Amino acid sequence: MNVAPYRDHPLDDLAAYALDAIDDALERAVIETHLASCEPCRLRLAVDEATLSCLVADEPPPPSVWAAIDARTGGPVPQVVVPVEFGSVLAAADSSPSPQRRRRRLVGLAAAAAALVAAVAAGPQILGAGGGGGGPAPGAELAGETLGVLTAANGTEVARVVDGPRGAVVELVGVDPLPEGREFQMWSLDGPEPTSLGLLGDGRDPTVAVALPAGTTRVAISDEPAGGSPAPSGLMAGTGSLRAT
Amino acid sequence: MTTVPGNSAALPTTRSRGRVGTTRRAGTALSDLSDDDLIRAVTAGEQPALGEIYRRYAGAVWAVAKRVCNDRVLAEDVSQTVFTDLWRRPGRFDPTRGRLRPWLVAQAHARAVDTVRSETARQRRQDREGHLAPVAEPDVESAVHTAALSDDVRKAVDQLRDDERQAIVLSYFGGHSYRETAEMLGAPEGTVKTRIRRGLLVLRQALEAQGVTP
Repeated sequence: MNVAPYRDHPLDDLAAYALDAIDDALERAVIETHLASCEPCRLRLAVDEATLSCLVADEPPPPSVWAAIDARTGGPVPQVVVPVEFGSVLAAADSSPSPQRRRRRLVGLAAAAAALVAAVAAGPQILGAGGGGGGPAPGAELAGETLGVLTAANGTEVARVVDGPRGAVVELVGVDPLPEGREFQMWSLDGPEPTSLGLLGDGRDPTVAVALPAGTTRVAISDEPAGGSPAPSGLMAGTGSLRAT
Repeated sequence: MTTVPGNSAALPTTRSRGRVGTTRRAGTALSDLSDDDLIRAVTAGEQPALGEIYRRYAGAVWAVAKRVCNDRVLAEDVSQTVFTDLWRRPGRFDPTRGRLRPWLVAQAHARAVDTVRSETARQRRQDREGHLAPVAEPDVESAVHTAALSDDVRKAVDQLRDDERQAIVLSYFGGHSYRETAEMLGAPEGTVKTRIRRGLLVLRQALEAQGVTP
């Protein structure tokens, strides 16, 4: 493996990141952006995490921990979201859909509309795709020019932003749904501090329309408490750059 | 019924709910399965597989959560969330990136740090520290922690310089940012980050020399 010279890798920052010692959202986003495109640093991070885990001396947890987990996990089988290329779900559904994929698409679009209603109530940044508060109708084409792709720290694509016929749309393609009480939130990283671009729901809805201020070039999506946060506080799901809008 | 080693919590081996045995041959004990096999079973909705993962690694998850949160209630919440998240989103673990125990510990640590950084938790923690430990001395913090480690790991930790050990312990187990750590140690922020990096390198090499693997 070719490892780039020291100056090309933020090694000190990466070490602090492994310890969760970076509390500034912008600093974290910069590192995560680097990680998204740097396999050697992803490996370094994994090695550092493994080293740190050796410092943990196991202790038996109280019985109440498992009791609570048991109560929470006795429900339905967890659904795993498989990353799909934007647009392929709609195209496949129109040709020869499997029942599961067809159901997921329709449920997702219907849920997206519901999420948009909730998001409009939550803040003015989220708009309906048509500007009137409604989401993409079932069967509507979401084709459009890709403005940018957001990737996770491991390089996995998690979302893409598309310039649709009725405004920008975020397509969550590679994220697992969040547990109850959590919600994805989108941020602009162009200013000195991250600025909220609105809520994206819990990941069960594949598409959400967003209002992108003109000139937005760097964005991120983080895992936040339901209702959103004034500043990023949870795990960064993905970061990416956008073409000028 | 099986019992989590060192834990009075009982874990059933078979359950009336959740699918069992859909991803492994009949008669294969859960304890014989690899971590990757268990993850596949969890993905298929086999709750007993989650119980086996819990049996193996809950001790580490609980230990790091309790150490960082310094609060049993918060640590319980963090530990529960780590395993329920694994149940709901097993695909987040990428076996090509590393092993399950370090990943779970990293998840627990990140959640614990998020928890203690929230304002409510911070206040509770400050109140608690105000009663129990008014002055957080880095050396005391290090000593308390390393006393619980195995001999091999303690020998590896002993290879660290004091300033490296303090930086790592304060940041990792204290849940402090590198800026807070720098302030506590009276050192420049960049220096603290360099000490953390160097310390991690020394630790890794020393652990490897001791034959300790995560």
